[in-house]
Parts: sequence; structure tokens; C-alpha cells
Amino acid sequence: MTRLRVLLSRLRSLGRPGSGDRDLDDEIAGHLAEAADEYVRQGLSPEEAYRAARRDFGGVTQTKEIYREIRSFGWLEATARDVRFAARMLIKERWVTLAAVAALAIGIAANTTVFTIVNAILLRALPFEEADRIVAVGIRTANARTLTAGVSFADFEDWRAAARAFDGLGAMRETTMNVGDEHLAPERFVGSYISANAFGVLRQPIFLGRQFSPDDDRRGATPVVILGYSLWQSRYASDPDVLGRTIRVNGVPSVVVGVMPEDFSFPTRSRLWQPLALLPDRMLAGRGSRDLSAFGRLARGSSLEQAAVELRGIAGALAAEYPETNRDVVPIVVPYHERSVGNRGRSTLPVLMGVVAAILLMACANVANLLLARAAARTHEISVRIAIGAGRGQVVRQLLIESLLLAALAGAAGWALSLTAIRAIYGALGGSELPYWIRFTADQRVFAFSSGMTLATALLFGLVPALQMSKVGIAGMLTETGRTTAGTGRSRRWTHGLVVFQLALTPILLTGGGLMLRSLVAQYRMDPGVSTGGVTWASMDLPDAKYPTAADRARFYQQLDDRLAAMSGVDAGLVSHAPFGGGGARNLWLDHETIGREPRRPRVLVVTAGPRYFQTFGRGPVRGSDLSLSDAKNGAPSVLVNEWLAATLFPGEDPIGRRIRLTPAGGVPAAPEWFTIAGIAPNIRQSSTNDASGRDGVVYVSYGSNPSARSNVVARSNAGPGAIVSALREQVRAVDPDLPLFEVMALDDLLERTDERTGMRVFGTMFVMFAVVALLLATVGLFAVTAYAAAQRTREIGVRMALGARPAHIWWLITRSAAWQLGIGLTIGMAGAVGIGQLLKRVLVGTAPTDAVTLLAVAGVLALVGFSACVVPARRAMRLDPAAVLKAG
Amino acid sequence: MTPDKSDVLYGTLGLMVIKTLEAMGPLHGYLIARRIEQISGDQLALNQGTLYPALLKLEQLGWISSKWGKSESGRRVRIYALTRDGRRQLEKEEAQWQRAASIVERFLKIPEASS
Repeated sequence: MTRLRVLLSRLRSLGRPGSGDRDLDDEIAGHLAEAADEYVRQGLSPEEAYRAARRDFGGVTQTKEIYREIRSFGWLEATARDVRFAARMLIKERWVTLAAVAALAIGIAANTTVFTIVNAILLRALPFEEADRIVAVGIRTANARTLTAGVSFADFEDWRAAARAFDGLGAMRETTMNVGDEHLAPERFVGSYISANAFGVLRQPIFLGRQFSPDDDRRGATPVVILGYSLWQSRYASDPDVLGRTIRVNGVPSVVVGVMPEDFSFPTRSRLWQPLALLPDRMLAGRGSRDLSAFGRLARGSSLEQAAVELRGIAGALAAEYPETNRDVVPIVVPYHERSVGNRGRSTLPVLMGVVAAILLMACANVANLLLARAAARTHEISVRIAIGAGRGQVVRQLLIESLLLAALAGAAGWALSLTAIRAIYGALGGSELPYWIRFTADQRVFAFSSGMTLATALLFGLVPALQMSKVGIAGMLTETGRTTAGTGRSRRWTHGLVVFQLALTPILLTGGGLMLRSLVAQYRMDPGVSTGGVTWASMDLPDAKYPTAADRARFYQQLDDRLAAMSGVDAGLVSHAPFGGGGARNLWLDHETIGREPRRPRVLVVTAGPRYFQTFGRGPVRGSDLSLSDAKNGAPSVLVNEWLAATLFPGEDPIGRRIRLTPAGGVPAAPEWFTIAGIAPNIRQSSTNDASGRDGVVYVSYGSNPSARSNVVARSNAGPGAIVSALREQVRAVDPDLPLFEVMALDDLLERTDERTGMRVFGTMFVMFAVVALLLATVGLFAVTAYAAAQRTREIGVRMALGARPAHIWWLITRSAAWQLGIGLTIGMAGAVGIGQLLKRVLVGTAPTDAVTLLAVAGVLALVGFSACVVPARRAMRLDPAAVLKAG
Repeated sequence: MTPDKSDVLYGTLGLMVIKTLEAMGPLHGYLIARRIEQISGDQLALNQGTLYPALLKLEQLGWISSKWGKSESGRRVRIYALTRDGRRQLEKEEAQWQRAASIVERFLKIPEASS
């Protein structure tokens, strides 16, 4: 009760700081005047009276101090004072502050970023009821330890019928689905075939309509479909009357029976679902075609192990019954989130956490060095503070508050940096591979982690220098000339080693980044051989359900091509791979050769195309005739070879009319098909990362003889790209109203997005980012160590200068050690840089692994940065006033 | 942190202050100090300044209250008065002090008796 009253009274005075001081001043003045009056009455002169009154009163200042301490929360005011002082110190030494904050912010940002990802992938629960009971069920082959293969429909049915350890077993297959309606353009979505009980197993309620019923799962049942919320919203304008309507999914008329709630895209990105029964026959028939993923909900009271044991028993019986397909099938059961993330992610993340923790530790070590350096420079300040009565604890507290302030700044900067980094990473990953519930968002857990780490960091880099400094202070006071050598020989070696390590790491990373970026530039400069400007690109994917056989697809291509040919003012053709887009790698055999195991074959890239492909680029076959879709039945379908291939295969001969065979790189099929060379194609580059010349031999095969499901249309017209796209859509719809065009874009934009360029950009940027981190840390480290050494030798330098040492000597004295570290680091680093060049050799384009420009630039940057890290301490030392130094002791 | 110096004062000085206020009624700081010195027969060479932290402490505890007023010579001074809580506290403290003093006194008499 009394305590509360005291607290309230203090709080009141906290609200009006200073006013209490003024009151006390008035009161003391009044007191002294009264006392003096009395002395005057006793016969003293006014001056004597006042002096006597002062004597009686005692120390006015002490009184005020004690008074102030009682009046307020002493520690709070003292802390506020310390914070203000710390802020002033940080501003005063803004370069040191900037270096420390930058180093720490990077460390904190790296850790926060990785933890955000770990949190999203490993720690957050799946968005289902009792999600920890949901498991993935798969099989592994005899010698693999992890879940490797899918489940066949027949096995799944047998497991489901026999297993008791589950509250339900479901199966699914995620794929893409083309959705067609009467009055809407067809669209392509990610969608899943899913067992009727699947949503029940997840305990996922439906938003509108009904879930699948077991009847939907029977073959021959009326096809039904459940829509995802976002698809329902975008395509059907959230119309509740969509229920009961018939839409075409992959050409199959299906009744919409339900809509799922928002934020549900199970298993990863699905936006509509159909029963398993609608899968193509070949995926449902036979125990050997393992195309499904299975999952289940463990029954209460049964464990992962029990479920696995039970399933293995069932699988054993099936293996005895169907030895041909099921001999090696071993079911395994793992928590669902493990499956959904994949082994690679789960094993990479801890490593990544280790790496970023190491970065943070390095940053801390550097900042500690930096603070030690500053500590040496502040010895005088500290000894004065101790001399006028500050306790060691107060000094340590003051210094720790500085550290905390530093860490808080770095924490805020790191947090902001990490948000940017996470966005960039999410963008680079495309997000499409990850299940929908994995979102790289920060939550309380991430925030707690980040703040905790910031605090720990402050202690880590601040405590040692603070303790050291408070000792330095006492010693400095007692011995006048005392300069404790903070840091023993071993710890100094250790810090020097750390700096050398950072210096060595930097050129390696910088070189990696530099080489990648130079490759990227080289790739942009690379000439595809034809002009790709103004060409439009669009993709098609013929669904299995509607085009089960090669003949069906060939018929489609023939009809479409006829229409493309008839378009006026438009050049349009079919092709499987864009320029720089690669092709199918094949071994090539000439007509007189027998196919054998000969190791060195001419490797060619096979591109499937239709007539007029080259015309789209304003070219035609160099010689001979164009591809045709209709000659497939004549035994040896015609193909084109490009000029490079013609020149290498048939030097001085006419290749037209010659026959070739193509075999896949891995093995030889029973009866490889014969092709007849009908013409010579212009050179178009298909690969961008091969050898520097990039002169790939390309064989163009017709869509008539190789009607693959996936194809693309390239088109150019004078009417502009917008007009082409709608004209193309019209032509495709005329052949198949349910077939959507996707990835519709300018060919140049597509080239921009090719895996190779994206990879180069992403990895190149990553390398450069890490290199910048390493460079920054190394610079801060070198600066700190040099500055510290310089500060410690202040007295020595003063003596030397007094004895006549010239500035050049002092310069050398300070920079010698830094030069050594730089030299060693650079030597190791440049060797490593050459090494990383060799490692990257295979992915570099038009850039030598020991690219002189890159290596010289890296060495130059490092030397320059190293030099500038020494300049400040060295110049400070050179400007010392020997007289002042020696007087100060 | 520095130790709370006022605690040392509070035990005795605080008791003297509230006793003085009980006996004399509201007073300003200088008169309290003089009164304590007089009562102690000028044996207690009080640093008058130490009085003010004690006054603040007592006020925080709610045993005394203060307001600005006029001294006899017309000066602006802060005048302290005992509160009801303070009066109650004084009774308690007095009893405690008597008890403590009598115990100490008894102890101090033991060696006299034995010698």
C-alpha cells in the first residue's frame, strides 16, 4: 500500500521533470534566507550570516542529488541519460556506427530471412484440423530409403479396403486442366483428380454445394467438378448459380457440384478438382503405373509406425499375389508436411541456418573488434568517469546501452532488409512449387526470433569490450600511463585469422558473381541467328483425356496448320522449342552406318516444327523443301537439318535425299525410325550455354511424324501483336473450342524468361549479394583490427614521432599488419577465385573461367577497399600531436 | 546503483520530523531544522540540507503534506504539516522506539551490574 503510494508520487513527478528541481531550488533559497536572517539578528553582517547559513546547510548539490533520486525512479532517469549519451556517441562516431550497423544488419537480415523460411516450411502447422495426424503414404523401391514413388490406383484401392490404422486414405494427382464454356474463352488451370473422400480426410468443409460422394468415384458416373474459390470468382463472377451448370474440363462435360472456400488449393496450387474416375484409363489400369500420391489421417491411437507396419503387411500379401509389379513395393508413411516440402528443402534449411549463423557470428566478432578499437580511444573518458565516482557497473551499463542501441538500429535495418530479401526469394522461386499454405510471411514467432537475436547480438559483441573497457578505465586511472593490452596474443591471432578468412572469401564470391553476370551479358549479346522481334509466342497442351493417341493429335495439328496457313497477312507456324530453348538431345546415324555402341556420335538437338516455321522469322529453308505434316505415312518422313549440321556431316556433299536415324542418348530403341533430309534450314541457335561457339546441329522433325502433346505457335503479322493473339485464339477455338492458349507473350519476353537466363540472373545476383556481404564484413573487420592496433600504439607512435620518425614511417607502422592480412587473404582468395571459375565452367557462356577482366576487377576492388579500411586509422595516427600524447601519458 | 542514502536518515530523522510537526503544528523546513537542533540541545550537528530528502520521503509515504505559504518574515516557503496517516504512524513508531530503546538500555545496563 505504502509502496504503491510512493510509486504514484514518483510517477506524478515523472510527468513534470524539472519542476521539482525548481521547487527545491526555491525552497533551499528560502531556507538559507531565513537562516541568514537569524544570524543577522544575532549580530553578524549579511555576508557572514549567509556564509554561516550555507555552512549549516551542508552540500546543496548533494542534497539536490539525493532529493532527485528519491523523487524519481533513479535508474530510469539514469538510463535515459545513458541512452542520450549513447546516442550522442553513436552520432559523433558516425563512421564506426555505420560500419557496425551495416555489418550487424546484414547478419540479422540473413538470419531473419532464413528463419522466416524455416518457420513457413517446417514450423507452421498445416491448415487442417488435427493436422499432425495427416500423413503422406507412398512407396519406396527396394534400396531407396525415402519416399520415392507414387501409388497405383489398384494398390491404393486395396490398401484403403484393408487398412485399419487410418481414419481415411485419399489419393490424388495434380495436373493442369483446360476449362471450356459456351461463351467464355477456354482457360488453363492447375487442377487435381482426387479421391471422393479426400476433403473428408482433411476435414475440409465445402463453401458451396456438396462434396464428392463415393458414387462420383465410380467409373461411368456422371462427371462432376468442384471449383476453387478464386476460379469461381474470376471465371464465374462468384455466381452461386454456377452449381448444377455443366462446364467442359479437358473436353469432358462435367457438372459443377461445389465451390471450395478461399485459401484452399490442396495439394499445392489446385484451383479445381475432379474425381479420380476421370483420370485417363492408362493411369487407372495396372498396378505398374504409379501416378497417384496417397495421403491419410491416422486413426486415434495409432502411430506412424503402426500404420506403416500394417500397410507393409497388406503390401506383402499383394506382392505375393502380383509378383510382377509389386515385388519391391514397400509402403512408407511420413508426416504430410515432410512430404510436401521434400527432402532437399528439409536437409538444406538447417545447413542454411548454420551458414547465416556463422555470418552473424562473424559480424559480431568484427563489431566487437570495432568497439575494442574505440574502447582504446576512449580510455581517457572512462578513467575520468571512474575517477569522479562512477562504479564499474555504471560504466559497463553505459557501454552495454551503447551496444544495445547499436543492435537495435541494426535490428530495425536488418528487419527491413529481410522483408525485401524474402520478397525477392519468393519471387525467384515463383512460389509455384510450394504448397499453397507455405507463405513466407513474418509472424510473432519470426518477430520474437529476430528481436531475441538482436538482443543476444548486443550482448555478444558488447559485453567483452564493455568489461574490457571498464578494466582499462581503472588501470588507466591507477597507473596514469597504463594501457592494458586488451586481448592476449592468442585472441589477436584469432581476430587476425578471422579477417584473413573474410578477405579470402570475398574474391571467391565476387568472382563467382562477376563471372555469372558477365555470362548473362554475353548471353544477351548472343545472336539467335534470326530476328525474334515482333514475333508472338503461345503454348498449347493437348489433354490426354481428349487426345489419347498420336493419330488424334496429328489430326489436330493438321487441322490447325491448315487454318494457320490460310490466315491472311500472318506468318504462323508450330514449333516445340524456341530459339535458345534447347531441344531433344539425340545421337545421329547416317544411312550407311549400323547402330551400335559407338561412343562418339554426332550429338544433335531435335526440334519438332510445322511448315512455315522459318517464314515466321522472315526466312525459308536455305535449300530444298519445307517441312510437311502429311508425309508421315510414306515410310521415311522428311526432316530439315540446319546449315551447321549439314556442313559438319556432309562436307562437300549434298545432304538432300540422304537418310538418317536418331536414337536417344540413353539407349537404343528396337527399331529407330528412318528420316529423309528434305532441305537445309537456316541456322538458329537452340542452346545458349554449350561451348562458346554454340553451333548446335539441329534436326527439324515435323509435327506430322512426332505429334507430341505440347506445342507452341509462333506468329508474326504487320497488324501488331494484340491482333495476332485474338486471331490465333480464334483459329485454335475453331478446331477445339476447349483448348486454351497459355504463356501468350512476345517471343523476346519468353527468351528473357528462359531457365538459363533466369538461373544466371538469380545465381549471379545471389553470388554478388553474398560477395557484398563478405566484402562489407571483411572491410569492417580490417578497419576494426587496424584501428584497434593504432589506438593501442598511440603512445608508442608519440614517442617515435618525438624521436623524429617521419609520417611515412608511422603510415607503414599502422598499415603493415593490415597489408599482410590483405596480402595473405588476397592470395588465398584469388586462388579460390580461379577454382570457382573452374567449378562454374559448365554454366558460363562466352566467358572464360579465368576471365581476366573479372579477376583483375575483383583484385582491384579488394585492394582498394583494403586500402581505404586502413586510411582512416593510419591518418589519424599520422596527425597525432606527440606532445599531447606524451603528456596524456 | 548508489545505495539509497535517505534510508539512513529516515529511521531517526523522519521520526524527529513528525514528532516536531506533531508538537509544533505546521512549519517550514528551516524551523523544523532549528527545532530539532534546539530539542537535541544543539548536540545534533545536523547538516540542514539532509532534512529535505527526508521531508520528501515522508511526503511520498503520505505521512506529511506540504504547500507553499508565507514565513513570519513574509518569505515564500514550503510549509509542512502532519497528516492523519502521519499521526497514526507516529504513535506506532513511538511505541516501537520506546520498546527498542528500553531493550538497548537493558543491554547497556548488564555490564554495569556485573562489574
